[in-house]
Amino acid sequence: MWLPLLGLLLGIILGMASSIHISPLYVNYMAMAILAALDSVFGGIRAGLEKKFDQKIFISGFFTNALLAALLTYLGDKLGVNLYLAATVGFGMRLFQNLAIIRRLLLQ
Amino acid sequence: MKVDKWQVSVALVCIILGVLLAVQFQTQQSISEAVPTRRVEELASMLKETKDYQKVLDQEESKLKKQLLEKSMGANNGTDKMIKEDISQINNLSGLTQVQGPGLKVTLDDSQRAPKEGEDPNLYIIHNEDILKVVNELWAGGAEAMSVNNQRITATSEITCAGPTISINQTRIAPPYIITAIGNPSTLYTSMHLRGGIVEALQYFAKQYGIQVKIEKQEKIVIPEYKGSRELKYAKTQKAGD
Repeated sequence: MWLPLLGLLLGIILGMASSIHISPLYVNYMAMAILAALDSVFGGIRAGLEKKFDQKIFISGFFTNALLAALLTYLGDKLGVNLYLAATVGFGMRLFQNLAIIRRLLLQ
Repeated sequence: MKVDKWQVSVALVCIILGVLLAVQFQTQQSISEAVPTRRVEELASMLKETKDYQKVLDQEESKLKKQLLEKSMGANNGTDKMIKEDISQINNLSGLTQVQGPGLKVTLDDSQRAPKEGEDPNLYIIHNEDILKVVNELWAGGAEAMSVNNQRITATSEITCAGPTISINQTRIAPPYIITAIGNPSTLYTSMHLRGGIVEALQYFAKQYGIQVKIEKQEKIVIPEYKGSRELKYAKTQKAGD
């Protein structure tokens, strides 16, 4: 379990050091990207613990999730409807489900 | 310790996640570091106080200027009466003294109607160009002294757009704009109503969009003196032989 954590730390240090600032206009997109990444991480851990992890599914899932979330956010911006909420709710529910399964797998 | 293959992939995505988190965090922080609304209000009230103080100082300045003028006029007591008259003429012409006489009063005001959907709201308000054109037309009609909302128009007066207001003599004025001019009232009146002139154009807008235009001949108009700074920093008199 320590390698993903190490990666997270490394990423945070990298991001802090780079001091990249994005326009406030794209904060929503960033939030969606973060949610997609979080979802992928939890999904990956769960699959790994269940011993049915597939590299292709994991990577493609990460990118398609992020893309769909970005698309929804963009569409919502254009339509004036907060469509990104759909992605937020979807990702949020899956996060909790995956977390529950990971917890069970770890405790058993 | 055995490292599963899946852990490497998840770690990679975790790196991306970390970078995203850090960037988002920094961005949010820079947003919250922007000037908060309360600070803006504070600054606005400070600005108002300073402006009030400036007004008091302006009044004091104009009082002192008047005194100075009286003193300089008095100093010429013994000398030729012509010089005194010359000085008073020059002062009147340059806007340093309050003057009075017959003339014309032009009142321009924004429309009271709200713009219809899809219409340009700019059509419903008076712009600095409108005032500029009226002032220009009045000069052309032989006006000798002029003021807009009690701001004396001098040789260096600007009439510029300052957001929702208009700036004259570095002072912001708001509608209704009252342009007063001293001169022959009927000549001024006719010059205002020239065919194809500014008033004709404004009256078209009045009919169409509700802009308000009023022109009145006046028996007695009082035009205040120029209250701003009158020091010339760069322009110096050219002496013979320079």
